[in-house]
Amino acid sequence: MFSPLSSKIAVDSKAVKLESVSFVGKINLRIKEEDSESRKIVSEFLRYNLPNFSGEVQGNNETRTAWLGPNEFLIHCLDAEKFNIINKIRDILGNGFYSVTDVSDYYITIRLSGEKSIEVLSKGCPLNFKQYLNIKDSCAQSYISKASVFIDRLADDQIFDISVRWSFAEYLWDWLEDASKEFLSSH
Amino acid sequence: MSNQNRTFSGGRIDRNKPINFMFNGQKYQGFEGDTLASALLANDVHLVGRSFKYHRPRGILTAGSEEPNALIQLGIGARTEPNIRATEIEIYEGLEAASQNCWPSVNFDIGGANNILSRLFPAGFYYKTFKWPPSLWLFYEHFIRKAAGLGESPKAKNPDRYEQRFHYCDVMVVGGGISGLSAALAAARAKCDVLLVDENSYFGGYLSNSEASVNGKKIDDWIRIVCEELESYEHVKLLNRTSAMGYYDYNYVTALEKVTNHHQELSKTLPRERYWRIRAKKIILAQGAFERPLVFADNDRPGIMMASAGMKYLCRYGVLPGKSAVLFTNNDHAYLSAFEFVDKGAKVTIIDSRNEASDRVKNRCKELKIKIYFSHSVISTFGQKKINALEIQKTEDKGNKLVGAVKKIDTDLLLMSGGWNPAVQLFSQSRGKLKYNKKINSFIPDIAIQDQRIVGCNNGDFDLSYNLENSFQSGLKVAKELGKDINFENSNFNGKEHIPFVSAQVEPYMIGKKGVTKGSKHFVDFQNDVTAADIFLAQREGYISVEHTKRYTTTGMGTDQGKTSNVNALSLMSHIHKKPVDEIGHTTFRPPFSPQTIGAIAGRSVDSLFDPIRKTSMHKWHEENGAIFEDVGQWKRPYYYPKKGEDIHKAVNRECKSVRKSLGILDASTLGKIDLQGPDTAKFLNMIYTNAWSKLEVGSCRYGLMCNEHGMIFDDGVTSRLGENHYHMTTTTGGAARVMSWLEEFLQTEWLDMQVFCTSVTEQWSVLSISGPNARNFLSELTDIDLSKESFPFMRFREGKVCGIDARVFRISFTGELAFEINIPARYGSYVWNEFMTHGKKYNITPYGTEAMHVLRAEKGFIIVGQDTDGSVTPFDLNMEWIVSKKKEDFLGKRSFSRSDTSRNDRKKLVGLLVNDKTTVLPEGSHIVEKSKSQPPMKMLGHVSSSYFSPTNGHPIALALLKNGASRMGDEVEIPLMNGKVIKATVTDPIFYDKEGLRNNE
Repeated sequence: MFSPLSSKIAVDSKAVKLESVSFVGKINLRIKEEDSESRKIVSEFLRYNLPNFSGEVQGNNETRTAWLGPNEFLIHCLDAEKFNIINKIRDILGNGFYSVTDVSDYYITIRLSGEKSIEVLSKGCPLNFKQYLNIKDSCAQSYISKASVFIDRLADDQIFDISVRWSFAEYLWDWLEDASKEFLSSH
Repeated sequence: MSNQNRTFSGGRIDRNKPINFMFNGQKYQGFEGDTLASALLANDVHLVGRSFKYHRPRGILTAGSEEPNALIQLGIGARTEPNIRATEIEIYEGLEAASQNCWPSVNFDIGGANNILSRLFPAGFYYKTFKWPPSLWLFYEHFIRKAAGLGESPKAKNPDRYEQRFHYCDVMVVGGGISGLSAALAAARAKCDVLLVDENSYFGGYLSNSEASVNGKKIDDWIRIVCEELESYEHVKLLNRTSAMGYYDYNYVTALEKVTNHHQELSKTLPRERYWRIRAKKIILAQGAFERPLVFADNDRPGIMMASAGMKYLCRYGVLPGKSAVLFTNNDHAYLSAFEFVDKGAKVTIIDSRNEASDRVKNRCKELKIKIYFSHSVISTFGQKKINALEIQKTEDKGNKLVGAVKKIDTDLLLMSGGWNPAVQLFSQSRGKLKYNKKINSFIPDIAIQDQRIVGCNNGDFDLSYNLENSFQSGLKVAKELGKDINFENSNFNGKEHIPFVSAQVEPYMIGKKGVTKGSKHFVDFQNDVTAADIFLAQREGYISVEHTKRYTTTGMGTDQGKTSNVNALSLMSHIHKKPVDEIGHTTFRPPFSPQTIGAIAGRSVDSLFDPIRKTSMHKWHEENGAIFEDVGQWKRPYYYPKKGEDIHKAVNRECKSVRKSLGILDASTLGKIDLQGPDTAKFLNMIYTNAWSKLEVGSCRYGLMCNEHGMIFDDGVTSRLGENHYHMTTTTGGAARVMSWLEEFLQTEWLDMQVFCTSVTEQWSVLSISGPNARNFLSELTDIDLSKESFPFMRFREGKVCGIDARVFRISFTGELAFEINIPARYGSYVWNEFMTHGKKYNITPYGTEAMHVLRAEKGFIIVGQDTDGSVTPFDLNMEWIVSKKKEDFLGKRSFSRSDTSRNDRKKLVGLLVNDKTTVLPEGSHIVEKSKSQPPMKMLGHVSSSYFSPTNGHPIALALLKNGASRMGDEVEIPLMNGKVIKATVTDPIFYDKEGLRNNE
């Protein structure tokens, strides 16, 4: 298995930590907003309600589902489970109107944490972090410098999983590493 | 002698910390807290530069960001920076600076001849003088630009870091003077998120240089206490050395913070500057005001400066710039400077253009034995490199008439004050409307368009106590508007200023003893060398709109954007036209507020981070195997893989031959891929593509052309049916994002009832395209899919294992050979590629790049969207009638095929071209003509869209779009080249190889 970040060396300091997250299952799920029946079926299968609001993340020990849009979700799961889950969703939803797509390799995830993470992000991400991603289990789509990203806040501490398209991953890593420099040095 | 102009004590500098610096190659010493301007004045250096057009000796006019004269070349080598205001440069150990726009030196400047010849150079002289012959303008321009110049840009790459930062706040306060601090304090106490920015290194603004007091406390103490309180709040951010530069819609403000550029050693990790991009719910503008110069004869000599600047040099920096000073004023407030100067031991004479002053200042003058000349004006000044004397004369008729005897006064410093102009630049940028205030004779903010308040001198209010209280209340009011729970209370700040600014009269343009046009110069715009005579000239020549006057004379068009000149120019126009200034109007202010570095705007988007470089999962292999890359959008794609000693032609020929003879492999991962699901997908594809999709079976693939509403081709690709309601679409590499948006646009805005979801999967899959007669033999060794012709025919799709990895295999071909496109999850892409390269050895597997791909497809007459099409080409133009359904009721572009222009018979059509000489590869883009002439114009029949040497055919081939192409087969046309040669070519069919298409069906 090869990731575009295979050769990158993690940044590890109290101020900023940067690491590459190994492959997990990522499934893009789309169900119409008004199709409450299908939403209910999927929610029962996941054993929690699909997120309903912009920025909401729901999950349990097995999966973690983020709101991407009024009819779009991103389900994270164990890599080994992704096809089971895709097949299961196809099974339970049958021939209706929905889509379920494996995007596990489409996105590469970089984990950014440390006391200065938000300052690092604020250098290139136009989100207002006082309003968005300000609590655990919240998410947002935006851009960082010139790469589109999906950001998922994992904890009350500043821990962010930043998912970016494969081909932009190296650029984003280099950018984040460069942006961290200010906080790593003794200057 | 060093620091000879330094006062014995006082000032806000640290006299225990001397700082050495160089100016024009000379060593000087200043103290920590000095600016370059104050340190130079301390060392009695007044002459710091030469003016823009006339190369007149210039000194330091102001003490802030409005400085139009003292523009300095700062630093050396890669860090040198032109046009920096000496009044804003904080000195540091080892600083090197130099005057600019002078040669050989600031003291003796050859360009000074311009001043003697100045009668030849009035406003607009170059429009009049250098017009004939028009062809020589470029020649003239070279010399004009050299003669009229600013500093020099660095030749080397900028070694510094520049950062950027997004920031959100409830309240942004621009300007950390007394009013700004008071407003920020109120908002902060009401628990608003506050950002306070100030361009200076210190807070407190103008009054921090004075002896004013608040509640009996010295102003410095009050400022310190307020700043300490503000700093103690977690929700407050104070940024000094930060200029708000641009004010855009919805309270979006950009600001430039100087982080380390006042340090000697620049940090490797800290930025030199930081560019803030701020969105504030409320903005409070508290930018203060700029003192206005007076316009009189030769008002530009070194040693002539603004009264407030003189006071700042004295009080903040402990510098007495002159010992025998004259103050020329039209208001009471400037008397304060005179008192301070006398207090520090200078002798001062006051020339007041008014006929009276307040008793307060008159009494004080009496006490200090200061002589006042009322109703007098300075009518001339003397001194080549620095003022040494001036003449005054009594005035009548509001200053328009000079009477009585001329009196000469010896002096070494002339302080002037024409009143104050509120700094309305940002307000005006925010689309706020200005109005003219007769009391202060300047423009003040009137109607705000954005959610903002203006406080203090910025609003034309000059009373200290009022400003403290009113600003505080403004801070509370915005907090209230933001929903903060507050108790309105008074600030209880009582300010005391010795002499507040109340009003100024407009009579500053003393025409001098010989009038404005003769002998002396009355500068209005110091930076651009615009004189009162130029303004008069513009009016005489008909440039009477403010916008015309501005451009014709260049008033306000310097890097200072007329901070000191605009209002005087308008006053002059008002005087000339005998109209109130309101009716003259004013020009609009645009960002940036003051000059800023491009580096800060670029931020870290430089070098390797300039633009994302998109790489496929096999990129490393390509790199290690010597691929030369081609940029395709942001992607890097292998262009060709030269072996030792091969140039591009040899490499591409070898790659092409290998594909035709045995086996080639291409990294096709960059192709756009879109996963389509939903019951209406076939219906949707029927609308998007020109051909029919209803009958495509599961497991089959089909090529499709997409047209826009005008019937013009805008993308193409193969779409496969993976399942009942599941399709996999491919797009061109460059068109991937465009197609995705196109599909979403129609689904979201036009066909709302269509049940289709689109998901981009471009990077989910790495694509290995293998092509050549041995493709099947090779692949069958690595897959469990039955590849036989019968069970896996051309244009079909199968799923199975390839090298043990789950793969989607499409039997499609862009080379015309037997080919398979193998889609592998990206993480395994490089693994499978490596396996292929190892196992393919026996078939001489040859990696080929985009150039060979282009050649191979051109041999087959396959088009590339964006190369053989340009947005004006229909499927019919490409002889692709076969792909346009006649049965479908509708699809995008259909309605346009019946338009008269798209359906006419003589459109350009895709044809092949074979050069008669059998050797010339025509340059792509070449024009095709019937018969070449010795020079243009020649009627163009079309152009060459693709052109290569075809290794398969052994001669060059070309595709072209040619008028009436279809009916011209066998005709001879001519292609004139840039080098003058004319190439003859024969029109042919655009398919040069395997016309029957047998090979890909193998």
